Amino acid sequence: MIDETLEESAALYALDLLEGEELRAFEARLESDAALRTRVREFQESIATLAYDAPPQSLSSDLRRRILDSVPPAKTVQRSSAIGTFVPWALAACLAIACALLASERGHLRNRIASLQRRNALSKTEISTLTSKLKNAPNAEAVVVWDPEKNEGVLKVLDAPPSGSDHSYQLWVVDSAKKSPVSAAIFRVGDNGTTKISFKPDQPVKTAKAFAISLEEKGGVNGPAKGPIVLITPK
Amino acid sequence: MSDPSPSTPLSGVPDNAAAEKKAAGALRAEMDREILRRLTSGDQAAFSDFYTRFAPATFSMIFEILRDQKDAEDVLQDAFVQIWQKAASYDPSRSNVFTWVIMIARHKAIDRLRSRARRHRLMEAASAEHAATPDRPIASAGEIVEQDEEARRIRAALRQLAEGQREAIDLAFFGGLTQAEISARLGAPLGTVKARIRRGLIALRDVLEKIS
Repeated sequence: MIDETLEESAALYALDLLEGEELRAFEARLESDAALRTRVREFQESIATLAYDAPPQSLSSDLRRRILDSVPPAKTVQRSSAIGTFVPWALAACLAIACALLASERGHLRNRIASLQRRNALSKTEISTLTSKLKNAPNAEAVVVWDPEKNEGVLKVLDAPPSGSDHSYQLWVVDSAKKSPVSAAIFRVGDNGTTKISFKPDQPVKTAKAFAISLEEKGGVNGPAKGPIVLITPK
Repeated sequence: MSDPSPSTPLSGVPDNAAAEKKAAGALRAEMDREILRRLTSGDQAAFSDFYTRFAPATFSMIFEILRDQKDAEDVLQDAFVQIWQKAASYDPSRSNVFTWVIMIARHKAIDRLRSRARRHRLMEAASAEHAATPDRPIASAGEIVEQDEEARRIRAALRQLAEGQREAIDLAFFGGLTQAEISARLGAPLGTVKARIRRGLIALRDVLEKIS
């Protein structure tokens, strides 16, 4: 239980306004009080957003180079190529941008997507949101970042019902050049309703027109989807 | 697993802006952590991604504190180099990545501000510096667009704070003032200042939660 005095100290602490003995006593209390740590975190996260209230300033053109040059030379970073653990950096960056797009008002989406597509690094990447068809989980969401050149992508699912021990979710790519959707991944969702996977469809995909996720028996299916479609790219 | 009760697969799906925003927030936080994980492994390309993601808002905040281009650039560089070196010390249980970055940068900016203020006091010129007009143009339209969505959201939240609460929080965050200095600046008793800050942060947290 956090009383008003302690909460006041948490607010002051979050703004770096505690000093001396008051600061030491608060930090000691913080070590052993999980609820207090949560409150400080809440306050700090609110405070950090104030950065967005500052008038936007241009970054000088040479600042990026100066800062990047001020860290040690690049290391060669080994990445596993195993599907499921490898998140290609470009797709990861695109997934981050997808987040920003999702945060936008819908009315701004087209302009911002067009803007992104003008950037060479991202011009080949497609971002799709999948919305819920589930009456009992209308807030379930998914985002697919698809690299048509490499024929691979990253899928992030949020707020989906757990797949349970007897079922699996299966991701499908609707290819306009094929009669049937192509299976792209079989995955589970745990109790937190969230998962993120990298995927590569079973067959090459020419044009990814849409993505869909079905609920199948454990292990998925080889042919067309048998189970219900639970998330799909809106028409 | 409970029955997912799917609707007809190809029927229209209603817009769900709230769910999209929630998903966006969670995804953005996850991608921030991914960038930081790559920094930890010494991936210099990740540092470039990190710069793209965090430099605009961080630099704007630093500039608002220092009102000096060179100082602000130096502080941004110090902060980012420290983050590069200390990325492994980031603890996700204590804060999200954005908060961690902003806090590190703000501490450095406030340190610089106080150090400069000490210097200026010696020169009897402290107050003029803080009131100085920014000596450079604001961001390009493109950069403004990048920050626009989040900024609009935050400003909408800030407008809902009582004026006294907002002033006290701003003086601490951007001004780097102590409790006593805020009290003197606002002409309000220390207890009142503390209470305003507490109530202001609670209100800010609640409003941000609501509009997120």
